[in-house]
Amino acid sequence: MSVSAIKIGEVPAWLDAKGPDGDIVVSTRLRLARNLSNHRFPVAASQQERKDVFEEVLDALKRIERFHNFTSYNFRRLPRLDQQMLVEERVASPDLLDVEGERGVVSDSARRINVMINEEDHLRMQCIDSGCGPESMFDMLDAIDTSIGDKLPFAYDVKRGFLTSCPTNAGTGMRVSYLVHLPGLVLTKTVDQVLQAAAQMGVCTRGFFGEHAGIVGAFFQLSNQAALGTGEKEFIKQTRSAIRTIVGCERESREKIMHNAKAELEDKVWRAYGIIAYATTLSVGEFLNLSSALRLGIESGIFNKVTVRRLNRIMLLVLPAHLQAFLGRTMNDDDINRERAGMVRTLFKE
Amino acid sequence: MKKCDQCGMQPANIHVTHIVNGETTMLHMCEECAQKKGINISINVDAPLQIDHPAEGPPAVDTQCPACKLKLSEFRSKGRLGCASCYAAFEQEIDAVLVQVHGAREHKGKQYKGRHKVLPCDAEMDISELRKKLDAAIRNEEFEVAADLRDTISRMAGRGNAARKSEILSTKS
Repeated sequence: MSVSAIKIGEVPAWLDAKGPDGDIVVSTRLRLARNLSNHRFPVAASQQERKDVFEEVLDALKRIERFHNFTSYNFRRLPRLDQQMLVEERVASPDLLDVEGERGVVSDSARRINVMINEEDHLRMQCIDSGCGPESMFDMLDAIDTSIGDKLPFAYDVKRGFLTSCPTNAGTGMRVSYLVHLPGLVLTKTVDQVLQAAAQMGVCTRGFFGEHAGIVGAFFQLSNQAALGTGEKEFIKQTRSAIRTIVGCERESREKIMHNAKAELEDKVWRAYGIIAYATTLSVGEFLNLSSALRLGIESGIFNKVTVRRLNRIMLLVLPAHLQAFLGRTMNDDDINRERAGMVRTLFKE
Repeated sequence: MKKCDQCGMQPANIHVTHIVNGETTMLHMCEECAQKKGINISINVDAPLQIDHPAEGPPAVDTQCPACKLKLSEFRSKGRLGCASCYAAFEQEIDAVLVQVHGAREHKGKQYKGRHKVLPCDAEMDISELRKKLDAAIRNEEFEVAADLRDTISRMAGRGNAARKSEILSTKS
């Protein structure tokens, strides 16, 4: 396992636009929360105890062959900008930025598998990939969980399963989360209805940037509400079934728009491109909204100046930390928005 | 699918859990009957996941977790537990939350087969207490548990228990 700085330009696997149902499901993320039975949870632990946990977990991972080529990032020593880049790559959660003391993440170069240490729970193992394929991801993560659980004593009881800092995660400790792009449902104003139906199937909704953010660019994160009372595979099946329904509704909406309002859609897509190609200042929210229209344009055969994969790459590169790292300086929000617009103009000209 | 408790005709796709004074009752209704009862099923997509604690205000007896010393009132205000032992210390309260969030209170997923058995959080226990537990584990032939306890005791002894205690106290202030 190595410790190194973060490289710009490598696109995480979850943005490669190759996965199943990738026209609607951008990525799937599966995580398991685990704690060590012989330490207090991070929120209640002393600094020394957090350090002990951090070292014990790293030591255990070093003894598992699968982690040999992984890189470890200790947030206590990592520069703020690098921390934020890992959050933008969805390797670390925004919450990991704010907690104090020894904490960090261990990740592979494709950003497909990572283990956060000392966030809300001692361990948060995660697998994240493009498209909709939670079953194979679960098999992979389950094997990782078993190998770590052989080396470390997990907090577990037969009745309540894996014990977590927040009881909302207790039981399986699992959350399966799909990042979906639903512009068809947003444009036909049926998204609320469809998401209400999903809620009835035990699936809850968040925005692109997680629990504390609003909805931008018709991107939604859908995940299982419950984590206890059913087996992991059954939870995956339930959410998968809700996602299948949503994907079907979104495809239907897109067809309806292409059939009834193709001219309006073309106008919307090319106007979005017009702003992207000429704007001199762009916020993240505005860029995501515009790129949402372009994404729909690409998938509807209206727009072919870029591929979805390239659009994904640009999207990551213009997020605040990546942009500042690329330009080699920290800036205020206004400057970031100006630089973003300049960068987007250049990238779309290539 | 289960039929609606109210009309007995339509499939029940709305499930409401009432928790009053620790007593849990479930209502299964169809959308129409739920709306008649004034239950709003629309969701706010911006809303973060929240725990509505079944009991509001300070608890009558502010129970404390024997291992990590977290108080029930602190769990109520922050929604976070301090260690694995809190689950036993606040059993009733946690069970109510589990039913509210998951609609269940019993784990049916992966069984943990790690070589370690569950131990209470020993962070604040004295070495003498841990030694007693070690003796008991050996008497009961729970050798895996004994091995974990032995490792914990040697780790604590190595670092100096007194120094550790003072550090724990200082982080609490």
